Amino acid sequence: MRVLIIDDEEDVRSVTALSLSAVGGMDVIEASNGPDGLRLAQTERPDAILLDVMMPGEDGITTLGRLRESELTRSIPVVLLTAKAMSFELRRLQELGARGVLTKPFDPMALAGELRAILGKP
Amino acid sequence: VSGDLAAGLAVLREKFVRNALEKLDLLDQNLSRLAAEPGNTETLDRAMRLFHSLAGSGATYGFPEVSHSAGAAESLCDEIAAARRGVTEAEIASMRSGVEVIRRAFGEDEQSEADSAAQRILIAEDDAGEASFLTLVLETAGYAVRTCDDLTYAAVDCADFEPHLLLLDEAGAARLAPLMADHLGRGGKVIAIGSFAGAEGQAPTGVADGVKPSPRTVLETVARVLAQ
Repeated sequence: MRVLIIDDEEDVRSVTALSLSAVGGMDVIEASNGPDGLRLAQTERPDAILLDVMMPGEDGITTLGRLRESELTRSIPVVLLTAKAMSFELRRLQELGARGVLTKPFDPMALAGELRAILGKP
Repeated sequence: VSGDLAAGLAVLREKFVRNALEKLDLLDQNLSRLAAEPGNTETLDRAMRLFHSLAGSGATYGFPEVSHSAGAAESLCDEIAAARRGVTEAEIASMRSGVEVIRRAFGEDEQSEADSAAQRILIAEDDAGEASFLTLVLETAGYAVRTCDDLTYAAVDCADFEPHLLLLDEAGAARLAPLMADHLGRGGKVIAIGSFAGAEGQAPTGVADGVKPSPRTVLETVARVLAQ
């Protein structure tokens, strides 16, 4: 499985990539902002996208909208990564078209399993 | 697999701690600025993003107390921003406490004590490359260094850090040095950061105690001026 991580925080991208590859055996590609993430998603067509919500400039919600608008990327499942885990916010994020939501901080040993569970790919 | 993860995490964790300590220094600066300008929404936003960053990654790297304290401070910033009001002194004190908790989590309390014993140098310079070079040279030599990239806030940082020596961008020296004189540590000095090609030893009259003449003589100049 190939996963695109879009997150402005290098510390988060690095540990997410390590966790998904070392524990989950996934191929990982990375982008540090929404526009770059959209371009990578269109050219690389990953199996899933892990998208940070709070980013400077184009935030995760805007990026999610652009991913849903593009014919090339609208079918790629997007899982949002957020530090804000209020239940009403989680519902709102899923209503915007996200397949699921994972919260930060996460357990590096458990992240890959949680992502697979959301995607329904055990 | 878990061995790969553990080895990789150990490397990333060191980098995370280094980055986090830089963020704490930036938080110190931003909180000092907020104390001076409680209604500055840009500074509040910067502080909130720094806390957000620490909250989102601390526990992942094995520092749950970092996520907890930073998360509480981020929520406080969020609440203040939503209410569109200024920050109170009590709220700044609370955020500073959060910063100290985080610093202790990284074992920085010992480093802070060491810093307080070292001679403190504030670098007020908007050229990031110049500031990085000076920081590297001076920290390697054992000085406690803080940088300020916005000269508008240099006086605030000076009041907070009470440096023994101020390295001040020559462009702002004439205007700012007199304003900051009251905030320098006892016997504090000022060195104007000019062009490396500038005349050696020619300090702006009545403003600075010396000029930084060339990369190779930075330490000599700093030591000489501090000893004056």
